[in-house]
Amino acid sequence: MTIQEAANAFRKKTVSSVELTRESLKRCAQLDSTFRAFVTITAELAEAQARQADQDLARGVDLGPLQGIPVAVKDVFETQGIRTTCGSKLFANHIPENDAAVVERLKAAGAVIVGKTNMHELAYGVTSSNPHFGFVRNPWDRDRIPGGSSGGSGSAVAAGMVFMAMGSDTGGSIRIPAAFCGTVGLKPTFGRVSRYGVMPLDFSLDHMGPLTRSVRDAALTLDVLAGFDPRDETSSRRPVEFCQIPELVSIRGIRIGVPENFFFDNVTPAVSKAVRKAAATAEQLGANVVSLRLPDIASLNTMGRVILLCEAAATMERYLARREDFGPDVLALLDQGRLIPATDYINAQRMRRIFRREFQSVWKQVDCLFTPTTPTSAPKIGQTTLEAGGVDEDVRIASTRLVRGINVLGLPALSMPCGFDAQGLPIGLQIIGRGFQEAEILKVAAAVEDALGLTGRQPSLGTALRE
Amino acid sequence: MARDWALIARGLELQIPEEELRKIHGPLQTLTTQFAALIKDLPHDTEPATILPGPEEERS
Repeated sequence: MTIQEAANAFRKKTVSSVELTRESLKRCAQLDSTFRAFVTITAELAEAQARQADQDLARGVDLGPLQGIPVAVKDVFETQGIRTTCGSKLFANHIPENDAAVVERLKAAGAVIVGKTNMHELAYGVTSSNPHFGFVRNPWDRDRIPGGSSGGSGSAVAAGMVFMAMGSDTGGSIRIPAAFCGTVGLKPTFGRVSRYGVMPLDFSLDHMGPLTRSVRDAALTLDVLAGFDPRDETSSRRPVEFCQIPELVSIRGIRIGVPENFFFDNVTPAVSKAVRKAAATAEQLGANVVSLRLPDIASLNTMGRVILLCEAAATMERYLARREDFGPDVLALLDQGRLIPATDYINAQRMRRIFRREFQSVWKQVDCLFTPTTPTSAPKIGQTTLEAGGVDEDVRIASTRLVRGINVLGLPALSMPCGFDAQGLPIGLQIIGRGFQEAEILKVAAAVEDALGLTGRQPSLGTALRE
Repeated sequence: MARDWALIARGLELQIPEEELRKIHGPLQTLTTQFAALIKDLPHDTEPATILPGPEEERS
């Protein structure tokens, strides 16, 4: 069931928020010992919020489609009076005094927050194999990673524990788990969703967005989240274009670019085939699909890694004397960032300006881009390298290769399921758009989603559900 | 150009154990070498990208 379907049933009074929430909490109780998707489950608060939603609707107070819907937020979003760990031992007992802006907006929209999702430590990695709060597992194959860093959010949505879970994305951390877990994941434009109250990793690359079961659910969630917030100095004053998508959506005449360079190099044949099929589907729907060459994405990634390493090290510098409180992979990245000279960081920011200008020429040719989200489906837990297109590559580098550069540019991008490989694992299609054109990429994504008809396909949870 | 990361760490008074420095030497060397090639022709009058208020599209 999607948020749209649940919201309709809620308004027809065929289901109450308390019933939806109890079902969500029951599923969390059944599944979370296997999938470790949550750091904290807030059952009592969720029940209270659900009762309030039922009472409000009975009084005629309709707060919109998220009212009464069980959702979760990554444990990077501060929640008043509820522990917020950022997946780190450093913050294991951190109880914030205020809600993050995203949490405020979800609450104002009447959403029921059932808990805080597990994540890669400090949102700095792609496996979500968290040394402090447990290894998150992928509902499609529990021996595989869910991706990260918003792995708990991807796992919780894919396993049907919640209808939506919030993630953060610094170098792909919403889109990678969306691709590996077979959900939709939306990284909005930099500045579109407030970062107030989010524990920062990297101040010029962090973006906040939802993981959902359908494109329309992502759109209606963005409508709740988007907008100016004076407490976040990077927040945009640009007016919000609402993203409501009609039942029948036309993409006739929309120009879709399929990159000739980089994005299809060293990806598995299954990934390439599924993404190209999605592009062909869009063409059948009337879109104008063209091949084009993009600026040098490998260099963009190199620059992005320099910026990420330096900014993350600066953010965490004050804690680095407590080396024993970090997992080894995160500590290694932070140490690298401390060693890179300031001149490299500044030059990376200078290169960033050049790439942003270069990318503007892309939008004269097309309205959006179709690419794979990741070069492979989900790797196994503990796997350190993966092979795609005959090349062995570090899992972290490979998994972020097709998504990282988009954070450097600050552009909106979405991952949605576009097929499955021979092992039955989901494959993600990435749709990248112009700055602040979320409505356009969501419209295109919804049309493709409708045509592909994959929304109802869910993982068989087998013994995890019975245990 | 190979950088002596252990020397840099000592110069910055960073308390990074030798064994951990050895592990990060390779990735750091690869990244900074790639990056050096990337910026060698960077026009001297290019200013850093502004972080606030967001992508340049906002002002265009």
